[in-house]
Amino acid sequence: MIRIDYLLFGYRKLTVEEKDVSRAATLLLKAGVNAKFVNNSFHFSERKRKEILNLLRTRVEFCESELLGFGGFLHKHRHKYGVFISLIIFCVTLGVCSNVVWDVRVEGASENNVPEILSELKSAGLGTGDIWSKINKNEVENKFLSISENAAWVNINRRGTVAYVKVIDKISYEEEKKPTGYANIVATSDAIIEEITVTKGVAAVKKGDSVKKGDILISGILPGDFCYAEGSIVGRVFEKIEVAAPLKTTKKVVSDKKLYTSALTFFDFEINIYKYGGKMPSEYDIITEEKEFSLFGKRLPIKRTKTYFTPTFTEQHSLTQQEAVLFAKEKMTKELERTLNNSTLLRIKTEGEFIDGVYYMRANITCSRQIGEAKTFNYESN
Amino acid sequence: MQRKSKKPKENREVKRTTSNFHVEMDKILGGISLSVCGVKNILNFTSEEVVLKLDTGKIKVSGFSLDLIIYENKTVEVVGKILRVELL
Repeated sequence: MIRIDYLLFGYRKLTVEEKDVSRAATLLLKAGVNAKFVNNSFHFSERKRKEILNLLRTRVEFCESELLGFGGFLHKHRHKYGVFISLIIFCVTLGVCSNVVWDVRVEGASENNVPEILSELKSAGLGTGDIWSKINKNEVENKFLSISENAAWVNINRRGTVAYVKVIDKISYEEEKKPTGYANIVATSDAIIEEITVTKGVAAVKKGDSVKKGDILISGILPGDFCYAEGSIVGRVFEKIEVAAPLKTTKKVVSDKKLYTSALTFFDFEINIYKYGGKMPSEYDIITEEKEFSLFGKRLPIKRTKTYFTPTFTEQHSLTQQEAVLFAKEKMTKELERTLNNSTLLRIKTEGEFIDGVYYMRANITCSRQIGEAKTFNYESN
Repeated sequence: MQRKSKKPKENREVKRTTSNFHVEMDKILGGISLSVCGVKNILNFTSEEVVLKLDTGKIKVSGFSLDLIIYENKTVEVVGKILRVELL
């Protein structure tokens, strides 16, 4: 492995005749010159060239390479001014680029809050493309904390050109809102009362009573006063569900996706590369793909966005009777899941029939669930 | 009175020979490194064999892919797949 100072300031490779290797090594040893022999050659710095050549010139046969490394490159191209101008431009570009925020990475915050935190940081003065020398980290932190609704603490660190932002999320403790005003508890559906517990107010029904939707179950009118009625009422509810599965139906068919737009985003600048110029179909779905680039595990501020469109069209689709029954069964299962949410199923009876090319599936269900909801009212005293 | 002449002291020269011979081996990435201090001469060097002359004898290192590193203070380091070290 070549030493870094050799690479930087230039070095040469000296190859000795195989018969003279041990003699050359001995001469270097006695003269106290550092050298690493690999097979029959070794590298040495330009600084020691004279000493080594004087030592070996008359005693061993050798072959010397031209000046290598960066020093050698400069020496070789010393008359080519373009090379030097390119080097200066390269150094200036490197200096300018290293003073730009290439990426902002948020750590510690929950993933849902990250996009919001990034936009808040941007408005506080830290975003990709900003100049490091113009960023006062303390000011940004204070400003960010004053505008952020999600962060309780923030710390900004610079590592190279990347800003690492550590955030601790705010934990909000919401107090349960106490209802204010006056309210009755009314039935949300027709039912038979199975259980009634009154916390506040006066019970208007008792166990076993039949109630209609909108009937008062717990009254908020007390003798000589009003209150916000509270309590729980469980009722037995009877419901009918019907789903239909026609034998002839239409089906949405999605064809292969086609590239619509392609763009490259560098920091905040978007460069459009391609846009579909053909006629768009009447119905289509849009799919967007984003690809971020990284180098050695470090994310780069370059992003490629591709948008595709998938033309869709409807086509006639026929079902057999068996398929229609299965389709109706699937629909019924979904409907039951939706209806029986927070309910206990007590009894179910299903039946089905074909009428004019449509299969109808009906279910009569009996379930028990909470049937009370608060309905506020106003009282104005004269 | 004749002055008694002093008998001249014999110029005795004491020769002290010291040897700074020292050998150290280390396991490194890609093989073994053998450092030998007090090397007087390098008698043979190929990628399979290195023979070093010391004050007190010779040392022969055998193996393959052997490299030789020479330091300023008469120290030589042999690096590579060392299979055998012999004191001759």
